[in-house]
Amino acid sequence: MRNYSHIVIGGGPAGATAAEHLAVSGQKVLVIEKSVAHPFREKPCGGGLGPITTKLFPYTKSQGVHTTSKVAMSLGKDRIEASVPIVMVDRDKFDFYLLERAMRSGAKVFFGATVKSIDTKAKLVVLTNGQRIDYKYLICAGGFTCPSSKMVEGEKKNVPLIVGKADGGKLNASDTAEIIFFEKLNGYAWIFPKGKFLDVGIGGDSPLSLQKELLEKLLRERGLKLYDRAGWGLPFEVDTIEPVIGSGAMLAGDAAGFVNPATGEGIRYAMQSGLEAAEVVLGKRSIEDYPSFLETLCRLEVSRDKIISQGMRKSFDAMKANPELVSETIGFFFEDKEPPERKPMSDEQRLEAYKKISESIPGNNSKGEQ
Amino acid sequence: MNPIETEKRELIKKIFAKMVALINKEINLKEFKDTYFPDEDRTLKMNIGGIEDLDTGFVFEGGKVRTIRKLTDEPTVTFTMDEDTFIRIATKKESFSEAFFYGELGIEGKNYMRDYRIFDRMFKKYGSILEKISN
Repeated sequence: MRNYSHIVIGGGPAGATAAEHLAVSGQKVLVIEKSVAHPFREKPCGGGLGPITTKLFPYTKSQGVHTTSKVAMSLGKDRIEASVPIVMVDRDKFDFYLLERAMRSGAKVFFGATVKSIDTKAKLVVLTNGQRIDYKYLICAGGFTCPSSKMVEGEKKNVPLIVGKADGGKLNASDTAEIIFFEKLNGYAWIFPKGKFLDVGIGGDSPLSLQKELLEKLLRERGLKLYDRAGWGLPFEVDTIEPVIGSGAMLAGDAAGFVNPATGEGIRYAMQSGLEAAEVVLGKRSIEDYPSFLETLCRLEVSRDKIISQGMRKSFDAMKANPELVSETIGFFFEDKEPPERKPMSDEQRLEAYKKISESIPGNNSKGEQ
Repeated sequence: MNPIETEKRELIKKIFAKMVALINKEINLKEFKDTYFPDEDRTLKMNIGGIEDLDTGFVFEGGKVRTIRKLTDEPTVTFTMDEDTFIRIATKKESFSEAFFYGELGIEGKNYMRDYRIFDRMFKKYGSILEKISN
């Protein structure tokens, strides 16, 4: 079969965005999606679109089932609030909307199809039904369980998530998205208002048993009962990311591990990597520059590790002590703002700085003791 | 020890001594103590990378402040940072909170947050002085 120039594995946000952009540019593209079209698969996920996502892809706003304007972070009895607009989406509806956009643009989708093998030398994908499809370019965006993801050397670290829904009454339409930290958990829980229900979950690089215990405690404290409970995994290590898996073959989205290692946000990186992978195919972007946010993810991972190493309590205390730091932190983790630049000083520069400091402090004391 | 290192160490000793004199002169330390730590003394040890042996830090005792004697004074809180972080904080290019958050400032101590707030407030009192330095 040679009707398609390019294959996209996975019809989630990364694959659908890639397919749409390729199709819009007149390319023949096939999406292989393991779910059937109706009902489309559900993805356990917080489903919050941060400010960068809605800025990069303004059409996503139309899919919001609810919008919150504040993020509240809490640890124990302490609570910090910051202004961050988040558009809440239903993942199953949102993902299908993105895929429909791709189809309307001319992309073909094989629903209910799964990949048996990928041969990047022969540029061939074989489906479990025996169908063999060759390609010029291949974009693998089948999520963290995508077979293509396992073709990359190095152990990928996936952290567990537990996600569900709850009826919070009036809180269902609250203006505040809640992020709840725990001193023992290397991660966080969330309560996101979705208009008609609350999306509740917990995730992190800590044992699943601890996450279950903390989630149950949180639900008890809030008087919430979880339904539609599901488990999932999230790629969480940047240092194993290698987005190229062969000639003309790239990974995108969760399959590549493109997830914010501090917040766990994945939709934005999925859609952006889908767009940029399409740009590589179209010759508008160098593969060296794919994805453009890789450096940002590395920086966030370093910052995350620093925060974890000093303990969540200390980081939280630092934010409480300095309200300006809250907006800085939000900007740093949610809006791609660069952290302050720290260039090491030379010995001479340090000496000059000490002289300046000393001269600026009034007084004549030249001895080291008072 | 090279001449730059020698001069640098002398300057750091001088900075801490002048800070002590200034705090004693400018702050009503009795009121400060009554407000923040009425029943105890507080000792801030600052370990600055490469010059940890220097007596950098402050002891608040009996309504007065003096520089720490690291060999004998037991700190209630210990700040650990490298020289560049110390300079950035001293010249107001970075706040304690920022350095703390970004992991550039380590803080250890039983009631570290209480001590942190005390010293943060104390240094903020000298904001005008530190601003002059950075301008």
